[in-house]
Amino acid sequence: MKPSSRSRRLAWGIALGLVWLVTYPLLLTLLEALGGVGAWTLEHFAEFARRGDEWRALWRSLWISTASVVLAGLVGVPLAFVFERTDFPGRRVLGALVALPVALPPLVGVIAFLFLYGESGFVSRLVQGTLGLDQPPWRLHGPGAILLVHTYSMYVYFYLFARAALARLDGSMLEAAAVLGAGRWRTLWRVTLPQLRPALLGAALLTFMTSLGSFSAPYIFAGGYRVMTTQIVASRVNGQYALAQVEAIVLALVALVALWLIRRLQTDETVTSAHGVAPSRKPIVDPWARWGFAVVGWSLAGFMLMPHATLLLISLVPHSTWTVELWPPVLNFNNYRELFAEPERLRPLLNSLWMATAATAGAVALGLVAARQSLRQGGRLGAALEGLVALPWAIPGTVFAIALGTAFSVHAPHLGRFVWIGTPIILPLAYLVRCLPVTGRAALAGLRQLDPALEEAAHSLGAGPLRAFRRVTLPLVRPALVAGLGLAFITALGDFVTSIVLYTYETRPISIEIQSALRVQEFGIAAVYGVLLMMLSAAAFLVWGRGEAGH
Amino acid sequence: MDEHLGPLGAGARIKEVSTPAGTDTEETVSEEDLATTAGTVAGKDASRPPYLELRHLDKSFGDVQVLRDLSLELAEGEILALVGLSGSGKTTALRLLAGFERPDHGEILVDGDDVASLEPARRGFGMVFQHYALFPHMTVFDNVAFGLQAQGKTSGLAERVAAMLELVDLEDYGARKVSEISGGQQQRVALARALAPEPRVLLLDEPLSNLDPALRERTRRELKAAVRKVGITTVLVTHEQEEAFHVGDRVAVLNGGRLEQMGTATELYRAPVSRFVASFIGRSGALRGFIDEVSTERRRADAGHEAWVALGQVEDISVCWSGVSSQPLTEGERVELIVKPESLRLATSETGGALPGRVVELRFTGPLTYCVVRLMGGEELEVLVDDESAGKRPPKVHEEIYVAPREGGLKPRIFQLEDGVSPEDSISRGDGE
Repeated sequence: MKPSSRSRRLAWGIALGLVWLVTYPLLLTLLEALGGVGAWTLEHFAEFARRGDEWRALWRSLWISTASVVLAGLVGVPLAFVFERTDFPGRRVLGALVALPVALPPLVGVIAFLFLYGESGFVSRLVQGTLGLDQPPWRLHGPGAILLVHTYSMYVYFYLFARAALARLDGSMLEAAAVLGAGRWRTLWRVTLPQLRPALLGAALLTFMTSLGSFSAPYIFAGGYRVMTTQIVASRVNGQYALAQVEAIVLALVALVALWLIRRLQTDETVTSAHGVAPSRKPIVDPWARWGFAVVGWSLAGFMLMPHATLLLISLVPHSTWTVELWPPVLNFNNYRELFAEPERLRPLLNSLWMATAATAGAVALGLVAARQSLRQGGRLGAALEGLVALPWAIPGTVFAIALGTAFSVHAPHLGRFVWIGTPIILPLAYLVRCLPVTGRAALAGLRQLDPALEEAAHSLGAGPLRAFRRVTLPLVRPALVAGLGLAFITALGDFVTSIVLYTYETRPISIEIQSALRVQEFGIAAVYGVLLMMLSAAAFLVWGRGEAGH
Repeated sequence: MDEHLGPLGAGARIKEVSTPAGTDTEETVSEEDLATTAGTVAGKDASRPPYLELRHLDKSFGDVQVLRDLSLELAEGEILALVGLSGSGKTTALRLLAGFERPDHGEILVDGDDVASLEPARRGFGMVFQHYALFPHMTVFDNVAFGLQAQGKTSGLAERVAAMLELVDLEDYGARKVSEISGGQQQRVALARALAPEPRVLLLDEPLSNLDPALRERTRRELKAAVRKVGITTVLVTHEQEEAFHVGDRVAVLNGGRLEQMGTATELYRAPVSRFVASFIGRSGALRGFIDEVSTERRRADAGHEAWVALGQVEDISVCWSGVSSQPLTEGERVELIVKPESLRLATSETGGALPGRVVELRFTGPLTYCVVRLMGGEELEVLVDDESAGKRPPKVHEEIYVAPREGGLKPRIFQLEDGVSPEDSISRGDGE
């Protein structure tokens, strides 16, 4: 239907709202980094350029992100081939387990690694005890530790993307290569991998952007070894607001340039054939190989599950009861009891729940209306709406936290600025912006595959816009929306990067409480929060998975 | 000579044959004849007042003008079939009627009210979509009830839905999910859903195109019967000529966003007013020539203007075929002759204005066989083969053969060739359906 002027006004309204929420804070941050209106100066940028530690942090961010992409790819892609192209006992269950790290909020993954491989971690103790060493065998510290956690949590992108692409591959193309005389390796290099290229580039982009914005791992493992995100937070904590703003702007620019560069590598050619039938799996028939695959597979799954298991175990260890023993001597539910008995301990949990719920609801609603108007208006306005919804994805969370902190610390209602920092508004708002790309993308996908004739049919049967939307459109895009909702909820619930910049004591979420529990060595309490976060995320992940499947 | 050739076809001659002298036939062309011919163009049915009127509709998408000054009138209860090639504007016309698009200019009147600016929901038009657009998350019953609920009707809702399902022979299917029924049944649910809120006008967008051919004909009969039973004013958009001829009381042919001709199936077939309609309706071939002699005789009131068209030389003898035009003709004018396979026959000698050629293909369609003959000039003509036409033995590919007008067959239509305008943009219907 041709957009009426009313719906056009609505679309412009939404676009303006998104500009205010997404681009305006970034613009204000840039302006203030330049000294602000009337006091233009490049002094802050010059200071940034003069300081060696800034350049070091930038360089570390870049090389760690690049290395994360390589390592995650080296783990994820072979795994995808194993699980998609071969068949062995337990393949289905294992194939699902291998994707587990994606359901772990970054901070929870980090503390689980700490409990497992840290200096007093489970594995370290085991090695130390077995070998009778005086010192822990290693220190989980610095770039190595960051890369370990990054690889663990991000290879899943490569694994899932490559598996999906392999499943879509046209089997007859491989047969064609074979008939033309190509051997196994030649087929892999010349036929299969080129076809995986879009998927691999997509995974690389996701991994790079996630690494660039990664905060939990560098923050917990490498206090002094600063990358850009931790550098920004440190500057802000030290009261160097202008410097933090400059750093945020620089990081945002780096992210956008990286996005642009990787996008350029992605070609638009459609390489999957529409009528392709996925190549059949190759069953492993040799009994030794079968057992080999099964053993390696299950060990791998064990390795994947160890962080989760460790978290559970630590959560059962009462405060200061585990000192030098290999296995904790006391296991009970005291930590859980303490958490649920003390209102002050329970508060972060409730805070996280209500803030994540509000943010997710807002992000779903805004994502849906923006996606709808984007498709309806088409043209430049439609593209602008889509771009605005997707933009927060490209900007590291720390940058957005600084930007929102900058925009909403001044009272100037006529400029759209309010003092929201220090109020319960700012964190849900920050979560909402961070979740918007997820919910918006889901809504776009759902609406795109909806036959426009369905809504027209409803109209021709006398249903007005609201009725048609409620009775026809909404029920049909619900699976897609639920998928977006689950993922958004996980993101908001486990958020650490924006929370650490914007929280107040009253509104502190679980992640902040985990951090403070770690600081005072209350590992049991930190683990309990981690377990709760993990369980809630797993529940949301199930909802997401179901939505995806129904979708 | 060839016994089986039969008498010389009345529709062809060679130059030497003296022309039939007609001098006093001018008065047989009456005002009424002209009115009839003109009436076919405008599609007016004077006997009944128009119920649905499209007046001077224009519609462009960007720089592309999709509809140009389209005017149509339908009497109450009439079924009009809109046909045309893809891109002819027929679907756009339907979407303007439904209200999914707004015309740039023009009016749409239902019973005298202009509805062109009304929202689709307020027009009271029912529509059956090409892919049915059944709501996949609802049962058959809920789909049919949707329009009634939108009207706020709750009393008698179940009865009305049941009656509609009965109309389309699906009484027992109310509780089914739409994904659980067959394509033909989905089509009928779509019809029941469109009719349930008692719309003023029914719009059918290629309603049968999604069915396999075996099911299509039966569903077409059922569709027509159901629409007739309800007696609703209906616009059917289709690219299937047979469907248009069967279901439509009248047929409107669109080309390039313009109405070419509107009339009954017979009118379109027998008296196409444009080269496009002549070649679009049924199968046809084209021959070029010039007017050799204009006939002054008009045997029937609606016969149009007859003339002899010189088509070429066979051994220094000029061959002329007789044809009819709806426009007055002048001698020497360059024209094109559109001939139907069924009004041609095969011959084995050049006798009597037959054109020589070579058989390039035989198309066996089951009940009928068509012989494709490439003439000396390179034109290809399809000729319906039957015992009389083929003689005692069927033609063979590569055989040299002659093509002549069939005696008593429909006269070829003559169309003037405008200078500088190539009529090659017309369509070839060689693979007729």
